[in-house]
Amino acid sequence: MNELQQVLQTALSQMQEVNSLHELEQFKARYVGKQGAITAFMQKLKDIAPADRKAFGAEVNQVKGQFEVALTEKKEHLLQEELNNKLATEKIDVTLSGRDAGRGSLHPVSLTLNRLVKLFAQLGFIVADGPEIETDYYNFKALNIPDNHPARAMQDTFYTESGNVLRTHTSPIQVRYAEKNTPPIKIIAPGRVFRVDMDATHSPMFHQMELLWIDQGISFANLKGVIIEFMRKFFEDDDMQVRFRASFFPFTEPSAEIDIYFAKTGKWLEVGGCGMVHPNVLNYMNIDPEKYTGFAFGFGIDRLAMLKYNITDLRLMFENDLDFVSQFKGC
Amino acid sequence: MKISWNHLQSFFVDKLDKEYVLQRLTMAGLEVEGEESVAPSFSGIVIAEVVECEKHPDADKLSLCKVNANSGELLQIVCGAPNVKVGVKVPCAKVGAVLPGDFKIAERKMRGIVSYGMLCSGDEIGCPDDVDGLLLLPADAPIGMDIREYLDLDDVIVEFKITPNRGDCLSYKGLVREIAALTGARIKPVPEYKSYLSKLSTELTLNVSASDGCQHYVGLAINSVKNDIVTPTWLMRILERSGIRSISPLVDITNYVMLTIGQPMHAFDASQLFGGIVVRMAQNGEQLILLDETKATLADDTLVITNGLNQPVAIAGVMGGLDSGVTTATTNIVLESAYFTPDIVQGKTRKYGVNSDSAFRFERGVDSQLQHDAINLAAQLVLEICGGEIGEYIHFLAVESALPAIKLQFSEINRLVGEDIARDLVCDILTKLGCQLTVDGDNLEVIPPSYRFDLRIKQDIVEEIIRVYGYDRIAAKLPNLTYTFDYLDPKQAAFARYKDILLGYGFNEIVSYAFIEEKYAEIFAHEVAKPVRLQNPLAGLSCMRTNLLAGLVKTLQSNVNRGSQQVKVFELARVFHGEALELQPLYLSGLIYGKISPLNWLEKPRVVDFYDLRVVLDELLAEFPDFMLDSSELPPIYHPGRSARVIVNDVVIGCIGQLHPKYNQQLGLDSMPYVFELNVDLLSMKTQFELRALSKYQKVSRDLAFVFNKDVQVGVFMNDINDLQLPNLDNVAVFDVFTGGNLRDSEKSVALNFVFQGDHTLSDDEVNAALEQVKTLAKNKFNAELR
Repeated sequence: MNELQQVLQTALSQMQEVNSLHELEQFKARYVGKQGAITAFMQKLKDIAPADRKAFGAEVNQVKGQFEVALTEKKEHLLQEELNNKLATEKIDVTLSGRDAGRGSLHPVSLTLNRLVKLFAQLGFIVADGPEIETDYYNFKALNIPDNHPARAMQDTFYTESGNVLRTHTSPIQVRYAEKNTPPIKIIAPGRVFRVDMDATHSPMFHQMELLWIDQGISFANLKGVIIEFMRKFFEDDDMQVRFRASFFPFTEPSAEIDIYFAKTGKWLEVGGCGMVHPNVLNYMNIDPEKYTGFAFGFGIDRLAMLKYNITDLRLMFENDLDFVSQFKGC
Repeated sequence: MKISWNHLQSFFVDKLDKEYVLQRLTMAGLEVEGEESVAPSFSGIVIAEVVECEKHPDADKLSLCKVNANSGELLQIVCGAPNVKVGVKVPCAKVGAVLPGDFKIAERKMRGIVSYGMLCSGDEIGCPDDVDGLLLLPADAPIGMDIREYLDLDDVIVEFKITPNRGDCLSYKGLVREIAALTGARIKPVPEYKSYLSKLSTELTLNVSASDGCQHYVGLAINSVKNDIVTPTWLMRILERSGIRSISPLVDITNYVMLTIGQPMHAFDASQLFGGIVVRMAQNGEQLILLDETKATLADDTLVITNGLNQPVAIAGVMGGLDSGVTTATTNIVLESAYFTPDIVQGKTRKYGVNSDSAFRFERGVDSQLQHDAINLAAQLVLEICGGEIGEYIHFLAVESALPAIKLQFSEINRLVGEDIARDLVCDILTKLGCQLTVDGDNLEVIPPSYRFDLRIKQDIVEEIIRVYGYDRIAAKLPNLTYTFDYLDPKQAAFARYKDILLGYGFNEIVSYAFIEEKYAEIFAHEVAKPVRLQNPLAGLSCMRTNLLAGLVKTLQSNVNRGSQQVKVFELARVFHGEALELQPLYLSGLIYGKISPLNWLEKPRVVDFYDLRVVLDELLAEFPDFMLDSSELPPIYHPGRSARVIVNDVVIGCIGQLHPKYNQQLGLDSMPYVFELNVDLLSMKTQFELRALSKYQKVSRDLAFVFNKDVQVGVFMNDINDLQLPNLDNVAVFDVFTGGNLRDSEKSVALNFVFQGDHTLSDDEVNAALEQVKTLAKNKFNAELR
């Protein structure tokens, strides 16, 4: 082995001892720097006999090339090592909790309402609204419930000192809306309603949603179609059994109560009332009952929320215990 | 309405399938609310007579009896009841009997003597009575008969929820009719009632001056009756199982007639009528003490029955007077059977604060053709039970108005139902319901029976048809669906955005009552609007809220009491500044209290302050970046130094700040929360979105610090800077507020960062010129120097 090769072997072996990028730079200078051992061979070139000069030059270049390849590899290796060390020192416990309180949650009534609005919006319904202190006219009379009629006793009413009422249902919204719009009418009207009733299963304030569809040719079969479709979509059960029981509401004729069947309990549960809009009500709305028919459907949002989220105590809905409300964060 | 199932069954030829019948009734609109057996299950108890009774030799309180239970030999039974004695007939549980609670009777030694059974009290067989001891049966009770059979204990009380339109079903007769129509069950023929109206009165006069409300009035005198006897068991049992208390034979008879055929009746003591009956409207202020001892001051919308002295003796259809009612001493009576219209009776029980089975029926409607049947049935029962002699009768009948025919078309029925129902079937159903039909091609004319006064329009007829046909048999059909894009109006859409912002800041949504206690209404009073008050509040919740603060604070209180350290809640709801539509605006209100975040390992959570809420307000009002906060004219509930009114486009839309600490005791809080409230109805002023052009030139950032008097509100200075409309100014931010150091006590230093960016590279001169204006403003308006 000639001297040049020995230098290379020494360099390659010493390179293994280098432990940092800084050392590597110094090491590099020792061989290929201005006074470097390999550089020295290049400088010797002029002293070589012209006939051997080409071959010598080629050998020096080759050695230098081998050295530099090794150097690059070493450098990459050291860079990687340095990064690894840095990463090791930066390690944290990712299982610890994050900063701040995080997101709050909607009340289950709002969650349910949002779902209802989306479902009915897809069926082409728009959302209507109305006041909560209502006149006797909109809450009763225009809904075909005359003064002193026993039907009034079906809904225990809060009266204000001036004789207005806290609306006992969301049905007044249908009359208010229909007064300002002409058929076809397709609305849902959610809101708070009030009845003089307070015990484990009754709250004096609760939430209802009213649905109204008035157009030419709307039939009782259509009422069934929309309500069954809605119930199945809401409860995400395409086989859910829905039954319609004859009943009485002054503002609809024919009228029905709606029951849904829960296989879990083996029981029918009443979830709402519905019916074909009574011609007297259409007249109050200035809609010709000979030309148009329609159906209305009303139900308790709280009730649906309780069923949807397995809430068994109605009182929880209005106590605003944050341990309760905050559970709905993920919903 | 409660009924005895066995009594209902007795009207039918065939045995009814109870489950099927009740299911059919429920589906057809007569909802079964509940079923209850009249007695618990037990067996082996028979009627026995005590034939020997002596003291137990070894026990003071026990008797040693021999009883005849018709089982071949006398049974030796030890009994502890105080009322046991020779000759009484009592229920006897023989060996092998099973009492309620699965208690088996066996031979048992009692103080050394074997007892072969047990004599029973009413309580022990689930028929509680007032007697201390054994249930004493009548002397004619047949020995050996099973007590269940004797007392008809295998009966079920069924309670129906009768809707207000079905007054015709508030009697056995009505329910029987309905069951027959729905199921085809055959009714036993009822013999025609014998008529007791034979002699028109000469002594008692009748004058009906208010024939609008009283269209038919029949009175019948019966003399020399006995009302000081016991009502027969069969009658009492039917009443009790139908939810009506037994009073006296005469009253029980009138109630029985009402339950049986649906006609409310009344019995007057004839001696209190003074020769006449007048049916007239009451005069305002007339007094009447009613049977339940209510003192009624009558009003002129009330129909009354008066006597020959022109004194009211009854509120027509509602309740009789105490003085003219029958007592055990009564001998001469006048039975009343009348048709009072629903209009005249409606609302009267509420008005006079009474409960009345009679009014309950009249206000829903009574069959206008029933009055003769009722009085004849009652007369017959009075003669049978109370004896007496039929006297004269009085009678008034206004012009009879038949129910009008309802005209409709078969095709129309199908159109409304959305399904073709065969004509034969339609006719069959209506006929079964008692209607008279005239068919002419597609046209149908329906005359309902007198008891179906609820059938007025063709939709009523359609309901009858499909109710009997079965709602469930009608195939559901979705109508042609139409679509809509904007299912929420812009305001409703904004609510979702507001809520989303609040959720992002960790607020939980609450729902609280719209009514609050007087106390909270006072604390959280509106500056101008007085709270709307309720006539009939529940649990002291008498005032409609004028803002949402009470609900938020109550939520805070209850959660703090449950140990919450950190409360962030909001509500979006209507408040009430009056009763008109426009005085019921929607408010959005939020509250923060306690620690900024839950306990955590990163840093010690600090207590929330104004600026934690301020940032939320900034986000909520992002659409209105020029909104102003003004700390003058604050509502008294707010901390005067830490609160502000929120002003958008010169309109006050709400407040933000800390609640005033002077309320901490009243509200039971050790520190006061920060709250905001916004009238979001006022925020519907939608602004047009304008995109600012972006610049590719370098931004220039400069800092200036001024020394202000402490009272200067930096926001005011910032607004003034904004008003200068400095060229190329991109943003100004306060990055330091400093007091102390070498500043005077009255001073504070405020450091601001200005960022400029233009449509060209800005020169120092341009930037400096702009900053000079700021300095001049600071100097001239706020007397503030550069620090």
